[in-house]
Amino acid sequence: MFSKELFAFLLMMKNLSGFILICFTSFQFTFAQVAPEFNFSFDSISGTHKLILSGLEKEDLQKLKMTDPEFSRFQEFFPVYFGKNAPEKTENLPPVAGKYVLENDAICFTPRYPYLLRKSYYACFYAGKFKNIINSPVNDFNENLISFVFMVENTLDNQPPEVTQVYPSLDVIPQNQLRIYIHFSKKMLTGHSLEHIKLYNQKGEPEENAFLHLDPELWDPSGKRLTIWFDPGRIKRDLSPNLQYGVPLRVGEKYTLQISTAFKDIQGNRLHQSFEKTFVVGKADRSSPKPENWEITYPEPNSTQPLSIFFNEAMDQALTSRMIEVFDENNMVKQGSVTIGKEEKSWTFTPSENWISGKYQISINTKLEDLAGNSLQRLFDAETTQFSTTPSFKTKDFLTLEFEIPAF
Amino acid sequence: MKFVLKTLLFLLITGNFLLANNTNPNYTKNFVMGEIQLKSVSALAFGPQGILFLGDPMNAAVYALDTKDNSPISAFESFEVADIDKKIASYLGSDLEGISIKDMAVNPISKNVYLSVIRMESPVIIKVDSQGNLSEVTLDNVYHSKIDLENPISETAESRGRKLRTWAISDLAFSDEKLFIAGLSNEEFASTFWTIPFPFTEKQTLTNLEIYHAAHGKYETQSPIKTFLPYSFGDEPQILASYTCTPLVTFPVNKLEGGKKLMGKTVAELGNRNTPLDIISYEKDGKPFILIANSNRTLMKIDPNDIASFEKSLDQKVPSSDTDGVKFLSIAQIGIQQLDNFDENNVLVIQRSVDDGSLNLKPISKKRL
Repeated sequence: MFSKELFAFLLMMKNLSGFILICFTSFQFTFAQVAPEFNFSFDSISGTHKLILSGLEKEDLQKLKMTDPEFSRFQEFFPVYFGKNAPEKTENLPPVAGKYVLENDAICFTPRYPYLLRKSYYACFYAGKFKNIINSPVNDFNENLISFVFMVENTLDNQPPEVTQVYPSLDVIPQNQLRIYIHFSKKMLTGHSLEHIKLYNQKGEPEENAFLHLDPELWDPSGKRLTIWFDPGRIKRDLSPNLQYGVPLRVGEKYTLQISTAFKDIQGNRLHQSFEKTFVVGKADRSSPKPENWEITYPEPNSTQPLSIFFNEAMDQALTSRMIEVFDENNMVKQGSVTIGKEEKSWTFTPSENWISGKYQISINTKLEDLAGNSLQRLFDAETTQFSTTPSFKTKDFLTLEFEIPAF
Repeated sequence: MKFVLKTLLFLLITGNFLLANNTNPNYTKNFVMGEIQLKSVSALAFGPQGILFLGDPMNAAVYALDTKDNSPISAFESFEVADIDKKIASYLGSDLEGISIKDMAVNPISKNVYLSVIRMESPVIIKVDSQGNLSEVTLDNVYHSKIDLENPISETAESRGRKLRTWAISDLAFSDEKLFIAGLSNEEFASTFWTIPFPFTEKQTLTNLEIYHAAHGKYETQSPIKTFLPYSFGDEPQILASYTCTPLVTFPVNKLEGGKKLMGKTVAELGNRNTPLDIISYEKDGKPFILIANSNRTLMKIDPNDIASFEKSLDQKVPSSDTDGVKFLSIAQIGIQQLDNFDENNVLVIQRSVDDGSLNLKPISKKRL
């Protein structure tokens, strides 16, 4: 089949929603004929990225309504494909799912899911197939294919994401460190995370298999915080991976966690710059947090002074933020805000209203863990013989510390 | 992902009859019509009568969807869809990086294949019919029910950190009128296992599963379950579970009691740096087998009688090599990422080709397993 590209031009349109459409339009036809009157245009003012095919005869559109009232065959003559190549060149991958409607003597296509930014899409109109569907005679001219290649750019939300925080924040972590939380400034693309997160040892060599590959990945509902685990099978003593490959972190050595710029947000924007955090590995932590060693500072009555707990060791940031609560003597949760102190070694609660005199309880979930996953209840990697000396609170869901605010 | 073989065979035999028989349990009695607003999607599993269970980790919920896809096909066709990942990406208007296939479940009645996919941030359910055509299972007006997974921590205690906490649902399975769910917290290192009667009521049972590991039962541990299979060994219904740290463990179903700690019996070590991805049961020449797909090993075939007769937990002895415990037969198939029963003669897999790296949906004859 003879095919010739007649002309192509670049068209850029900006609109209110901050999207720019970049169109590379070309007309291809099989036999030299009069240039077709069909035309593609793009309505993204509504934010829906509606692709409009106009120039069809009103009479033909009426016939189309009659022959295909469900619009189920529109994709046969007006498909849109991912990529900039015609479907013949892409092993006949299926066209993009979407919705077709008839509007103002034109056929409009809206994709089921938003177009990816800065990626090409290829729309085409097969006039011959269209004529076939409406049972009209097909002539040479109708064999023509019009194609339209476009991509969408977002000018409002093209700020690259950043790594805003990594926990644990301290520079010396225990050899049996269990997890790392990585906070991003934007909602990130999930499913390929560990391809972009590497751990390098002090020789600059990548430590393969230090992290556990989990599917599904552990993201928070906002899609901005990722939890990754050092391989528990290597941390746990005598477990087969531990015996064969050793622990993921070696005492006394320095490591660098690197998050590459290939990590993208859901708009397709890459990380602003690669992120690095270097830490040194200290000895393993094989003891549960000991509440008897915690120091607590109490507030003055009739004030909004903070109530603070100093743990004497670094704790898991996420669990510490969530697992400690204050109850008043009516067993109601005291409202306020929590901050986790430097190196996650303290918890500070600032009430939203003054402390009034009375009895209070600090309720600590005994699943609260330190950096090595040792909770108040149990060790991450427990020797079965250690359970004979269980303090009573270890068998309970909550440890309660009582205090009293005296009368002012 | 899996549907107990006994039940599957029952459905195969009685599929037509089921549709017309009023004496069967009314599984959809508390279903409502409306939208399922998935926030995410991970594990899938078929229950009875074309009901598909969908795990939504970010909502910490499981939905039961009446797919209405319960017409048995007249002739079983084995189909093959080459480049399934590229086709799904193309259909969803994306490149490969923008999609992630999470799970696969074959409707035991219609044989249509359901895939859970994340497209950028959007959860999507894709149906592949026996002709290899893709379509999206739209959820905006469907007959369904929902269960919120009860959190092991009280609502008040969790209110502050609720925004950041999720339960990654790593696997689901329906058996004997119950839905089993393995969950994995993005914060606590815990293995939580839900047993929920279906149709859903308020009732759900949470169990913390533990295993001994290493020699002589010296250490005990919690660990997240990656995949599991409800299966009756002998006459005793059990959960055969595999962990992110590889051992294969059994738990008796009747010991799954709320709030209790349950120690499992380690029956096999399946090799280091290897994560079992799916476990199914199937029959070959009238004899049942268990089949395990692995991340870094071949398919493994196990005789359930060997598990039933495995007396001692592996923690009682020093591991002698990379693998240990119940013997298994390696089947020369690698790169299998998803595995489910298809029909009486085939299993269905999504497999990465060693020849050209393509990802393909294809049947494998049970005769070759």
